[in-house]
Amino acid sequence: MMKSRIQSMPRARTAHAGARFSSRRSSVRARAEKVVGIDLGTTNSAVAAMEGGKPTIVTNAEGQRTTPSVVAYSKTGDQLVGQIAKRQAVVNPENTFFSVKRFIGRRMEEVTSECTQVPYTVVRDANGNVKIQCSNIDKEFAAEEISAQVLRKLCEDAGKFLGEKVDKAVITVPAYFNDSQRQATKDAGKIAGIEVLRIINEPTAASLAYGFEKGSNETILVFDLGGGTFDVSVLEVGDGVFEVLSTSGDTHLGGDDFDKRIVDFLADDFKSAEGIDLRTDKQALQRLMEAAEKTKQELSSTTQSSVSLPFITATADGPKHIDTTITRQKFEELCADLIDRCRIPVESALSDAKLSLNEINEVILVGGSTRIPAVQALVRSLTGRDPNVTVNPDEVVALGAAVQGGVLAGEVSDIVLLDVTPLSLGLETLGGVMTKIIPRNTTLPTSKSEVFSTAADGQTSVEINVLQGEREMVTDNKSLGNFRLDGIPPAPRGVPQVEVKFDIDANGILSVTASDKGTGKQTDIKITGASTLSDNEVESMMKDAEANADADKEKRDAIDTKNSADSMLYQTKKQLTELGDKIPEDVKSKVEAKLGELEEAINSDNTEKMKAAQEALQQEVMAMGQSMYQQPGADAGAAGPGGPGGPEGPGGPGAGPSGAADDVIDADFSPSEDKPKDK
Amino acid sequence: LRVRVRVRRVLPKRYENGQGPKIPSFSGREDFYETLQLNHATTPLTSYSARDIAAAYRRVAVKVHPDKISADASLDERTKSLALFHKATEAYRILSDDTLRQAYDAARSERELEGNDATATTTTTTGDTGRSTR
Repeated sequence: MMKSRIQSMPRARTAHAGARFSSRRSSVRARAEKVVGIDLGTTNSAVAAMEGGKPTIVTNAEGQRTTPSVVAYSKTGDQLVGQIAKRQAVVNPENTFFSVKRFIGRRMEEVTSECTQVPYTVVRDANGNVKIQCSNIDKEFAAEEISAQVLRKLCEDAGKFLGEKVDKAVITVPAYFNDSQRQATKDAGKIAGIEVLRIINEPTAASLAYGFEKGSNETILVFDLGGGTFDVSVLEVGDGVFEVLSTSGDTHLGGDDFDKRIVDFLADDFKSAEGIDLRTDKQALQRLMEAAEKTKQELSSTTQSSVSLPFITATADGPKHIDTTITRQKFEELCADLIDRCRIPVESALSDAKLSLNEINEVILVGGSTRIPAVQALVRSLTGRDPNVTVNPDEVVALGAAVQGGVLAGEVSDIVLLDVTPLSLGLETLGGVMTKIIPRNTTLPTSKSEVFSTAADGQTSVEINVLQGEREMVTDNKSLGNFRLDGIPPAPRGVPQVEVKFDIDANGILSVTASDKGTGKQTDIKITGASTLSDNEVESMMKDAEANADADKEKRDAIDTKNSADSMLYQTKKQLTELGDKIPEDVKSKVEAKLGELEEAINSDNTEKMKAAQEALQQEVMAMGQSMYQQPGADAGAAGPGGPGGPEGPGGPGAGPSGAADDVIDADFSPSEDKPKDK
Repeated sequence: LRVRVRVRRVLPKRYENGQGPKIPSFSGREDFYETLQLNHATTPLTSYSARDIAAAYRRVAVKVHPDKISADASLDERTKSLALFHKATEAYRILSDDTLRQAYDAARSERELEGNDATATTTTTTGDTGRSTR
């Protein structure tokens, strides 16, 4: 860890030659902070960092390489994140939030089908945005806040692993995420107290991890089928440049959908046999979903898998169970249309890149769902080649994000990523049509402007409706937000000139400015579209999250203190009985007095008192230990080494008894020196 | 910002008459080859292959991409390099597309010929097409 810190230093040296270097000395010496790469997945997340010049997966506090993107609130209001949250999902389905990525940066009307697939309650807020209800703490969360909790845990765990504070990150998003979804992901980072240096696309990140350290020129296709989204990117890699040629995808297709098919199959089966719809029972639904995920995973390596769910529900006749077998063939039949949907984005990505299949050198599979044999078969049939399986589909995205983190921190010098915007951007013009300003697959960052005019005589303002999407009509595209340019001098229609400028930064996030060329008046609007939070909301959520984190820390501290107090109480009592009358009475009574104080502190549940009482007891126990050795009959064994110990005596005996409290070694030696004196 | 309900009445109208993506009319004034640091004083324009152009773009992009600008560069340096990146990307977009490149090359040689006739200040290295030095 220390090494990698030092490695980031050459940046300062190479980037700024000459005179300026000396003035920057102090900043050079200040240790460069670690930038981690985070794959914030629909179902699982992973973190990686550059270690010794190579991207490495960072394990979480539980020792796992991936962390479930699950947040839960228990009955007592405790917040659980990761595996621990996932594990209790069955008993707490309404307060366990997973697949939140499907809701991030979305408006309610965009996610109607997703809402019915989750056992927790999703509601519409006053602005038509998605809010997630948590009954246990009686609060409504934005999807950003839930993702922020996951991010916070990931960074805290990474910080422990790396031995330094982690508050800078590169976060990945599906390539096909629109502006709102990207902005929302960035906001989630902010709420978690993380500086998001860059949002990069998942397939692009995967290509970085794959092509990092590879010198050859290649054209690659990344097929990324994750838990909730599907992306295809075509890239050209060479001379250290990772150039995305085209990107395509489907933001409503992923592993969750495959699980859903199995759930529906099992539930329909059960319904026709027993007349009960298990999907209305949240606990049963949660168990079904877990079983479905497991079955799906098993079917990737075996040709059939058994589903056994005892006591799934009960009727007047008694308990009911599910005990059945699903074959791989049945699974493929259930998911045939989903698998087939993967076809279109591959074809459109290739045609956008103006490439034919034989010009692709390598096909890389990313995302857990690419383990499904039928998906691999589809890739094989689409591309006519065996996909590359040398990368771990669960980890490669985080690794690539770490490489980009290294690029931004200056640790990795010879690589640059040229990504594209996945969707066209434009604005609404007369007749409700979308006029494109930046076409899809334009290399980022980019800046384009165009001049527009008024539609009516004497019109003094224009309303600019910023759109993202590929369709002709405004209503079929996503509106990122509107803004208005006022104060145009009255003139016949078509005369005023309004220049609208679209800027997309390297994160793929858009900002729009409009200016009246006549008056020079400018409206400057960072698009904070309808489905993202306002700055104020982000700010207050950030404070909220920080306060909660502090409260959590306090809570944890209280629990830890109580546990250690309990254990100390027990240990001391045990020692007292074990040693019995070997302890001088006066010492014993002192220890017992302190014991009583500690017990009282524990019973009153006062953390501060417990801490103080522990400290006090510690002192007495030390003294007790010491008095044991000072006794004449302590132990014969000490007599032997006691002889040679004698000569060093002078300082020792005096220092020993008084300074014993926190110096164990000293106390250990003093009896052998003291003993002859006592005798 | 709270986005107000969209008012359908007021709609900006495209000021220019051209609708949809068409081959832009090049003035021939901007030098895309120069932007990509391709030395056209010694090599005929048409002899650059698609691969040459891609390689040239990469060489430039690695230098001027915002990621490659140090974190403590001034705002001015940043803006400058961003502008260079935009310029290079635009040049690459034109030159990597056969149709656009042809249109550009044509406009360019036309302008150069005109330039030659009008002022005759251009230095001609070979005899074929005059190349203006910026």
